[in-house]
Amino acid sequence: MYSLQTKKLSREQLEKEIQRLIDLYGEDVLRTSYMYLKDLQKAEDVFQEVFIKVFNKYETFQGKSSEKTWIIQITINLCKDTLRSSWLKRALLTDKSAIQDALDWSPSTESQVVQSVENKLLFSEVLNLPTVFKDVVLLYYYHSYDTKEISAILKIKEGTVRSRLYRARKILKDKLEGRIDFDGSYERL
Amino acid sequence: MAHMKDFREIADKNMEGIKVNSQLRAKTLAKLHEKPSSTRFLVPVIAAASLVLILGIAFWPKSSPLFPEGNLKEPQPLLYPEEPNMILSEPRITPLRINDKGTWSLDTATEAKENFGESFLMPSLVPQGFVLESIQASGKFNETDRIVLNYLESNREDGVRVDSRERRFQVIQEKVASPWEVVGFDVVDLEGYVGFLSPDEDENNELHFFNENTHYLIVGALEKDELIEIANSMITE
Repeated sequence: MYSLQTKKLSREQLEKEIQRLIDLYGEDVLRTSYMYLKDLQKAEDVFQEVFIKVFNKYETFQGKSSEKTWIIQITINLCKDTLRSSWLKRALLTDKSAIQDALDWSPSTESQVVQSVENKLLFSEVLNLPTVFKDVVLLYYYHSYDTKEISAILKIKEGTVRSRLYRARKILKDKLEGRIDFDGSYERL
Repeated sequence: MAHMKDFREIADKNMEGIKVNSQLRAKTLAKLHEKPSSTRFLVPVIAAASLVLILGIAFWPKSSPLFPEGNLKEPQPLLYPEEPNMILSEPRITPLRINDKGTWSLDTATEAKENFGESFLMPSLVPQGFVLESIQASGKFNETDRIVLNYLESNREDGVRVDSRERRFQVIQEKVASPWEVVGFDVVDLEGYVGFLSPDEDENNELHFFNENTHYLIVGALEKDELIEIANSMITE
């Protein structure tokens, strides 16, 4: 699991290692960035920054977490830096156009189409969550980390992770007016 | 009914077109070879060299050995090689555009008020030990739409910062089209104004409030009570 090599690598070996990491986790990094920034160009900028940082900090990686966890943690931090340094944050909090478009659309009688619209609504609402909630939702539901791992990644208490997950689910449930199923996990936490 | 357990699948389907293409991969790998620090060093050097060159040309004595007076020719019109028939009547200088956005530093709260206008609010109370480190303004020419006050905790006794225990916070004020509700945040009362406080206890907390078309945000390593106290001191200023 902790497969990053800790021994000193030559520049050429390090570049090969970065190529391996891009092949393995590149898509996760790019899509996670997109879900934070909602802008492909900015997500691609963050993608590049992530792997440059991995390249520069490679020897400081201590193997306390998996290489994927380390890279995702860098991704989240860089996305938050981007959000802080721009006015995107406001756009994220206010951008309701996507969900409104979906709501305005008349659902077809075809259940498959209805399902597709509901999935789009869910995706859109997750992207519109405030960052503190989006952090936990993406790590839990997209990256499949458990609450203990999320607590380590975000450097917050495990209880805080649970309470944020609970509140995030409540927001999603309210926004989607019951058209969402948490398979019992909403009540459980 | 959407199932949250299928979120990974749902999200990936919605992002089908978002992939690491060969161009992005190549661009990223190429950037590994860049050395940003040397670029940063070169920019002022090139700027200084250009300035010296321009000044040198402007003030070079006409009767210098390089340009003996008798050999001076009538100035010839300049031609662009790609546009051979076009004579340059005026130098091609790109003027500073009025819509260019920029960021600059201010020294005092009075300056900030002059730049931002009457909606600028200065905290009259900050937690003990914090000092105003810097003020940044940003916006277009002659039109400041954002002010950031940067506060830093310092050891006031001897004026030396205690970096290991350093805490920071920012007060951000920005002009917006209209106020919005900060979804998922706790609603608090700020001397009659509605404030939105970040949920849960965290290392960094944030408090938002609005007055007409100005958005105020206090964010940093502060307790929630401290954020509220600062906001109240701004409102009752």
